[in-house]
Amino acid sequence: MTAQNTERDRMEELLAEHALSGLSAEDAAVLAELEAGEHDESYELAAAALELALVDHEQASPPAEVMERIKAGVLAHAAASRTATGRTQDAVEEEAPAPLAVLFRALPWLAAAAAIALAAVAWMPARTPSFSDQRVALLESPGVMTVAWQALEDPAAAGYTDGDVVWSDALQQGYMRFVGLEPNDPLKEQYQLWIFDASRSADHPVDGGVFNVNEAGEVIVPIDAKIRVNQASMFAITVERPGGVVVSDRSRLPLLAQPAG
Amino acid sequence: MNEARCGGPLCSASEVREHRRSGGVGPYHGLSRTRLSKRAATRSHRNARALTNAPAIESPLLPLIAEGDQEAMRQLIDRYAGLIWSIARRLMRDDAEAENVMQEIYVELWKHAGRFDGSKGSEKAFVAMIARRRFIDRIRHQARRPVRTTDQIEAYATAMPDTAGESLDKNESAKKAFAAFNELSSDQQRVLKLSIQQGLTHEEISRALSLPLGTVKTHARRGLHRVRSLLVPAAGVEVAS
Repeated sequence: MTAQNTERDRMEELLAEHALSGLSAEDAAVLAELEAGEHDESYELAAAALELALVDHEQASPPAEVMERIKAGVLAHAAASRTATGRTQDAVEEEAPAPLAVLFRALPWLAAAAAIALAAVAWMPARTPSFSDQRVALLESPGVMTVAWQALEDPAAAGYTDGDVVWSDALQQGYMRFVGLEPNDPLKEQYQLWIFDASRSADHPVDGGVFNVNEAGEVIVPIDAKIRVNQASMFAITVERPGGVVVSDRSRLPLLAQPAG
Repeated sequence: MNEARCGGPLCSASEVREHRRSGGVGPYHGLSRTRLSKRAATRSHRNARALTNAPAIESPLLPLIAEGDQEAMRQLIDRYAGLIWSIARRLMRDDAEAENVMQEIYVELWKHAGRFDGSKGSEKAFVAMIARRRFIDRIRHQARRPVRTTDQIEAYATAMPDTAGESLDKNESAKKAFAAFNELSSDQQRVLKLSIQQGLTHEEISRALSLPLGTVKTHARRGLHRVRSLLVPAAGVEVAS
């Protein structure tokens, strides 16, 4: 047996073991070296096809509450990670040419594109107002309250420096603004807003929607109250599992905003 | 009927999208007269299929997901929840951990949906592959593989489910894998069964069958290699369901 054959057998043995029961760190390193950067998935696909052929999966079903949590978490991640064009990560990466290639290919077109862009500005429809613009517009409406957030003792608020909540009972519309609220991993947890309504019991605040903070700096988030808020008396942000909860245990409460008086 | 032309993995994303819509896989509102008639045709086709007990053909959802279709993602979660949960329950003991990994699997499918290649296997096999990889990695990473006694391991060896009849899944990849499996030697079959059905490691199989570890590894390698070569022939082409 040649050294090349021995090496190939060793690689196939490791690929099979990887597909069937996983490899130790040492063996995984050996396989990575033998594969030289090109992982062969065909053994894993064969094991998966055997899994389908030899194991009855028809009867299994996760509990409904598990499904709900998984769905909420995954769809929240999907919504948060969509690219500007709405496509998923791979679809964009696969189609994105290398930056230098783009530049060389684009050079002859740049001048023409610039001219077209200048002409287009004249007839382009008005852009959709940003949340920031909408917040400013709401601030000009009568009866709107603006309340500053108060940071509480929670790691998510450790870097918080500024922010407020703008809300209109009449318009049932509002925006939250944060500077320095800790970005969250939507797979693990999400922020959830609660609106306390003076016309209801304080034990049952209104769910103001779950949201993510994806970046440092100023973030503006629209409020999504699930039911009508008659007289907002306090706003609280909790950290909850992905998808949010119906009743919060309020164990993590980074920010609170209470109007004076 | 769209399904006949467009049920396979070689359809374009737009064909698949149109098929899914006309086939009424998800809730659909405001259907045109043409779409309503297509929907009625689909319903009668389904009834006929039920009568003949033919396996259902489901359009792949991953090409739609690669385009950012969240409704397709919602359907994918429902479609494969039983499969993934079944793999989880066999490989992991901790339900909470299984739930976490299951969520990670779906996120991986969302992020890397574009990597699904229907010419190499069915969508179901692709999902099972990602799921098995994740669960196995997690068990390895946390060193939480279920601890089995020698008696338990030996019991697995003597009480292996009978799979002499036919593939448990009617999926094309599964049927091909099963056909290949039936051509293997009895030792290779036993090693692969203990590994896949019971989740035993090569070391555990070695103890269960009283075979040297090297022999077990050889059986596993040759057996899986044979299944692989039938699933993905030299040209790498397999038309999957």
